[in-house]
Amino acid sequence: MLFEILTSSIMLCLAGAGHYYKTNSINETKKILLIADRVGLYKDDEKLRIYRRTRNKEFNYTEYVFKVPYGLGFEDFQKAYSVFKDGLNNKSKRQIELQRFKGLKFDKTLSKQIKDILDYRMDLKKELEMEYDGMLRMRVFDHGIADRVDYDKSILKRVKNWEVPIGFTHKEFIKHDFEKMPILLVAGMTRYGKTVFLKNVVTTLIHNEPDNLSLSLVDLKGGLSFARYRNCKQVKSLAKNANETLETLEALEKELIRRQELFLRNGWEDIKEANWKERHVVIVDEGAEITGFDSVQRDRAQYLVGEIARIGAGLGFRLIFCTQYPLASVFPSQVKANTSAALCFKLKTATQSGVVLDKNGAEDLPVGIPGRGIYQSDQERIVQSPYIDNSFIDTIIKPHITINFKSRSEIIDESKTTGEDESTGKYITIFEDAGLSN
Amino acid sequence: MNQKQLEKMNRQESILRSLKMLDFLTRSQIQRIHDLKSDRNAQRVLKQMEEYLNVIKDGEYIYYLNAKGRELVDCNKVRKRTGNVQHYIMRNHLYIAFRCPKTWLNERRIISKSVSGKEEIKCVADAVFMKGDAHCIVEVDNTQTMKRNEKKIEKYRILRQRNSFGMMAPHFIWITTTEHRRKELIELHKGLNIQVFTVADFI
Repeated sequence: MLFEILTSSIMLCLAGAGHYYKTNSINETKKILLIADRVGLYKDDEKLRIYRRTRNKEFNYTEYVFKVPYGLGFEDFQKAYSVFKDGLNNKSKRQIELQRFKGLKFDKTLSKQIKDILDYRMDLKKELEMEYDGMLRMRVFDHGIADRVDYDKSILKRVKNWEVPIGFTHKEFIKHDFEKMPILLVAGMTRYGKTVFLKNVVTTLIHNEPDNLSLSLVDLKGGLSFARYRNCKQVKSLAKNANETLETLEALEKELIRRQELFLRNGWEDIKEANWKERHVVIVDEGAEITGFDSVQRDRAQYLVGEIARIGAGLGFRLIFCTQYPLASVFPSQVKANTSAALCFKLKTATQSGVVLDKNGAEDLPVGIPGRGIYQSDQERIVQSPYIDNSFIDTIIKPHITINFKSRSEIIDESKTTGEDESTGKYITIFEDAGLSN
Repeated sequence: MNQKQLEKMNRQESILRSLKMLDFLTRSQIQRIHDLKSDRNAQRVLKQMEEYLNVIKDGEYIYYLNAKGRELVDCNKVRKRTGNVQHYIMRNHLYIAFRCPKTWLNERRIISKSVSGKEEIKCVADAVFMKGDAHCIVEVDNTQTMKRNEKKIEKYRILRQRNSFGMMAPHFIWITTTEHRRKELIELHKGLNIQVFTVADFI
């Protein structure tokens, strides 16, 4: 009796599992062929034919190579790109996650909970790439762009010198090199990752070039987001309001002119020829606020930002201009003219997108995914920029914090008045030979 | 005296000088510092210098100056065959790894006191050198207890807060014996610039 129950139950299980796998395993090859058939991508009785299928484990994609029927070209397939992509992402994969059984609550909704688990259908976010080299190659990436990437040490290892991470596409890691493209525009609606991205940049640069970097931060949101960097030795000034901003910008212009003269005297063309390692990065967060200054200050500030953009690059100045509200009146025209790279998070309207990217697109980015943006340089790519955790920032920048907790303007005032060597504080340090003999 | 003999003497003297500076050196270390090419050549060169050197045969040959050698390079410090030769050897690994910095100095005592002379902190670093404007402090952890290391790091932390190393953040470079100790040391140095090597990195 027992034996009979046991064997029949095993058979039942096997049949069930078999059915599950049969309905669940989607044969992508068949799917693609079916789609091609239905779209009408065949000639007479010659149909699309699979030639080879290879799986790439490193980048998590499957490559299909098809023989295209005579009379059809790559263009025909390109036209049907979205049909293929949507077909592959057809919400049809049923996934039973055993993990979810752990969270069951034993009350009267139990049967509904179990039903939910059994009927759970996974969202597919496959990404498709097509290429033609005599054969039609289709690459199907398992995952599209991730909705969230965390900034960690492994990302830090992939950038060096003056590169900063921009983000991940579905297959590659994109970075921005400030040596090649000295000015970067950043735009996007509020809460879509602008400030997080700026923190990425500052933290990465502090980590990679601690001794060669100097920073001027203009934060017109009241200085809150950059407050944690205030005491880093690389930060030369942190401006929080209109007056401080102008002060900082004026100081920068003086430095610009000084360097210009120095370079001219020595016959250097730019900072590379001068072989200086030092770079000065100027970050303007909430640049739109400048238009809110009174008219004299506004004109002056816009002029100065324009100056830095226009002549600063060769003299070792790097500019990141950042705004929530991109309008033509907000960007100083000199900044716009000199930028070659822009990172644009979600925007409200196509007009705004046009101001930043010179084309539409940023308004169509998905709602509710911070960090998703368009990075435009030599080409245009949709990326997910990494999210940086505040505690991670602290571990990176901690070694660079100078112990003096007074604000920088105070230090300058002190050195003017006392004239004594304040840098070592009130402690004297002696290095001497210990002369230990063995 | 012909050219060849002069060159030979120069090389011998520079080897003796580095022994004066670094106390003990293994054959392969001398080979690397003075670019003696093959093992065989290095052994030949050192064999010729026999009269100036004492040798400890401990796996690899470890050389140090004898009385005649000390005389030649004007060295007052007498070295004896001790149990902690390994300590010196480990430090030399770092010296070579950092490309023999010119500013390298062994056994530096760092004293920090307030102007009035109180609150004195003394600390002996195994070696100190400069990397650009930043101080690099080298510590060898061979037979020390972790407790002592911890105390030392605490001292360095205070020194750093007192700005003893100038405006640039100092780099701490440790060499230790095992992978586990490496992890522990990194843990202890939270918030400081640190690099930890193990002996295995150099063999």
